[in-house]
Amino acid sequence: MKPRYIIAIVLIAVGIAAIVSLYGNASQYVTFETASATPGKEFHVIGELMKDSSMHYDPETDPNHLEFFLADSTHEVKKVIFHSPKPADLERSEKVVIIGKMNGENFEASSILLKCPSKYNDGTLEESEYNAVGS
Amino acid sequence: MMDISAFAGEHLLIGNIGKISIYLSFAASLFTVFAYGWATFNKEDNELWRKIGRIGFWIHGLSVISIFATLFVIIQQHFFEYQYAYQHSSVELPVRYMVSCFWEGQEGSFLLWMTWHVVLGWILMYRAKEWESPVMMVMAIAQVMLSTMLLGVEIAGTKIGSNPFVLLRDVQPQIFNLPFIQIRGAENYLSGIQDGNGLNPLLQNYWMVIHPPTLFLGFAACIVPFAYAMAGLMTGKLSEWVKPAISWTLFGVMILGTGIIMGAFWAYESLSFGGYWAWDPVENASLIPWLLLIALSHTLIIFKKTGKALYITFILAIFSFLLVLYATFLTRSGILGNTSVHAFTDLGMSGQLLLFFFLFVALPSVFALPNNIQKISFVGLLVAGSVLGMTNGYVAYVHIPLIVVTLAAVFYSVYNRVPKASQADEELSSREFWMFIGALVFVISCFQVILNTSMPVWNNLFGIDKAPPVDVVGYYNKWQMPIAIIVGLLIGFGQFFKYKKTDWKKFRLQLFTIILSSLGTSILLALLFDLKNPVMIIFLISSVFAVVGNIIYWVQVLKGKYKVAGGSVAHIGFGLMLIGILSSGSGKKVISINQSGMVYSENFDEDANREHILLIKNVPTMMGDYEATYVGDTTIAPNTYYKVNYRGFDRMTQTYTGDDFSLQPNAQVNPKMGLVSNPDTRHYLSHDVFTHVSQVPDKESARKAPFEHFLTHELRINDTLHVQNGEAILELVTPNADRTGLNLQDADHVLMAELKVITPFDTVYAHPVFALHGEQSVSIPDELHDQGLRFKLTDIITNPEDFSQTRFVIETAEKPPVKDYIILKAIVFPYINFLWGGTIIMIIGFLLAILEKFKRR
Repeated sequence: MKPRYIIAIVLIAVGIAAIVSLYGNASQYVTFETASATPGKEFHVIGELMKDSSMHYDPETDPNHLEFFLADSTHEVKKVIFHSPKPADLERSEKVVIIGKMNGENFEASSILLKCPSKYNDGTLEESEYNAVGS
Repeated sequence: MMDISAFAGEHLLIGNIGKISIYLSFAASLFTVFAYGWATFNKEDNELWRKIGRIGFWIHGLSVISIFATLFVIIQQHFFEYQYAYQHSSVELPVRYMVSCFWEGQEGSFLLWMTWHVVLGWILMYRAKEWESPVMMVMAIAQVMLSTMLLGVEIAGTKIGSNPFVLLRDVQPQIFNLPFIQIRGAENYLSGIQDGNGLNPLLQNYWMVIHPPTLFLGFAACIVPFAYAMAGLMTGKLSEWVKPAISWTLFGVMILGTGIIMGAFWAYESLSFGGYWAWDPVENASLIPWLLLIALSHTLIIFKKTGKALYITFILAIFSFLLVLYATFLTRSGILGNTSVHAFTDLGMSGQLLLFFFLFVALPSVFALPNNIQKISFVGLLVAGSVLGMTNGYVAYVHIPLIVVTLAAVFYSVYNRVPKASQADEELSSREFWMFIGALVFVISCFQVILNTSMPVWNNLFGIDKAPPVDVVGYYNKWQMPIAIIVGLLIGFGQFFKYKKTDWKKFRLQLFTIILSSLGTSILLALLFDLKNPVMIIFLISSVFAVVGNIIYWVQVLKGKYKVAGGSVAHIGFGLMLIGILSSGSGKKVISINQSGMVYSENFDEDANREHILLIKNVPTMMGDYEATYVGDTTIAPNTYYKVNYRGFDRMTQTYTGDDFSLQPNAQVNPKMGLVSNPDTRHYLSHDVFTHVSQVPDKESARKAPFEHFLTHELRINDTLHVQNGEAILELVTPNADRTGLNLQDADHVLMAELKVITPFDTVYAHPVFALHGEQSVSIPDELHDQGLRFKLTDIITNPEDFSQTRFVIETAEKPPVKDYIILKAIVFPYINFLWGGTIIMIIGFLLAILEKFKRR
């Protein structure tokens, strides 16, 4: 076999592998219900911060422990635990994307994406990302 | 809305100059396309039309410069009647950051891109010689497209472009309803608008002044190889275009690479995510054209030396520019939505951007198709498809085939046009074979990044709703690391092959030397970096192999001559960059591990990440190999600097090492963005200590909180009083205290008590004052906010018999102490200087290569 055919086959194989791998590794936007069905698996959950219920962050006892309540698109409310300081604009957020897994009754978030009313461009939303573990 | 003929204080002339310049730049670029097109395709009068084309492009270029200058004057003079100045700048903005206002808005960044095209066009006009007409025609087509982005006119209900010279009162007529504007009267509205919205504090950084122009020059440079390839297709000189395209491609790789690394360095120095690369879609968008441009630079050289790989050279030249346009679409259309932290406003131009992109996708096919019938039917098909596509909204079975056909047409038409190389077997011992493999590896790397970054595009196209992988960074690394390993190996031995055919015996001997010396170096470095992961060790060996191979090649084969060393030096730099990525990435260590969390909850999660530490003021805390103490803050508006002292500490010997320094990470409590944290980094040759503040207490509101728990005590001198967290001793009372600053000039007697307040953290003094004026008495309490204590001297009970028995009535009050602490994250990046140093060496390599090409002309 000529080298050029081997190269072509390898190229196509790697290309297909990249597509299949992406499809397999892609996460999903789900509700708390779906996330609870497979505890331990990580998902994206989009929801709204429950501004009236208690948010707990006491940096003097533990600067890496934040608790708040989030309502998902079906209005199911769960407690979210985030092992990192409280993002500065959490209260102002209109939409929160949490990435993490269910652990018992709580959702353990490894990363939080906030959508806040834009401060520098009126009328649009702005995002910011917070990670528990630096990547 | 109202009939006011003139508004006081507006500067309308300058905006009109700007608008006219935009229209002129658009018209002139359109004219230039026709003039240079005539010069390219017609045999007659082409010399005349070439000159006319030059005039057209000069008019266009000067108009663009005029737009740039006008917009700058508007920002610099704070003409807030213009939306752009109002939205992106403010009065207190320092002049050095004013230029950054350009790239905060989309219009400004398109303008910057256009300006670079103009500069490159002027150079090409006088240097491209026989290529001038076709190349400049392509440049002018791009300029037509870019100027429409600034037009801001409405045609048949569709807004075309966004004009940077629109007035605030036209964009936001609701300002006239604001009470403070209504008081002044609408005609005087401008006197009510004293300040602009301000520039995003993250952009107020000197790297943000030079990084975007560099990056955009790199983007702009990508059009030149594309234009030459198009010129080759237009004129039928299918191989001659390669030679002049080489130095332009090298220039593009160098500038775009510099721009990307500058962005990485900016992220590292001033963003608080703790790193230089996060595989963010916006970062990826600048990376993908660069990867193809690198591949292109190699196939161009293969073709020049051996006459092979012409087809892929065409394809790479075309797609490296198309990817610039695709990247622009991704970052500017708002499609990235949930996946990117970079905020770009959607100006409703995503349709226009898509059209811009597909016009350039179709262009190569139009030039490459052999006859007019095929050209016309191809264009007809596209127009029909687009009309169908645009009138019915998105329909998957119309749009997907349309996209596939347009893309496939590029591959097909160029393939049919390009002369075929011989079908002889590839010679495995030839340099061009391995260079070609290297180029393909870069194509794969680019493909993988595009595939992942385009997730939102796939969601839209196929009607799915997938999120990016949970651990995005880990996922990218998993794919890109093996690619980097292969690249390192190829770089290391590639140059030892000769073009056409190599003597295996000689090669084996050279390879043996490189393997031995790079294995030796790798062992030393692996010990130094403390590497244990076998994949990381392989990565290290391959990167070292790249560096050592090229050093040996330079010394042995090139005899250390620097003029011809461009390629080797660039490769050495690239290898060093890989080593830096490896050492700082695998050895990155968070040292701010918090232990206080242990007390917190009973179901304490062992895996929980405790990467942020609480530093109470003046309480030394162990952090990695340092004892860190937060000693207080200073505010230099708008930033507050938190000073942290580090003392090097050796845990083994339990001694201080003398490696002491202070860092002052700062934070801006921005009214619009909350806490904007800026890191501070201590740079050593061997490692960096990176710190940023992630949370600060709200001291202001704690200070305002009222005192409670009032208690009255009768004390004699030297009596002790128990207060929260400690005790207070009444040490003395001065009978005739200093009255300055007390506003008690008329009083008969002024007494000041001195109480020594001892808490576990510190010892301070409180000085309450008691004054008598006839029968009236006044008490001035002393409030110690940091201790949460207030002392008030309310009365004195004298004992005429024994003065020492005099009792002083002290009223105490308490509240939670105003705590001063910071929450800090600190990371050690070992040997990150390999990355920055490697970058500089790589840039030097490119410079040498470009200079060499210029001299040979």
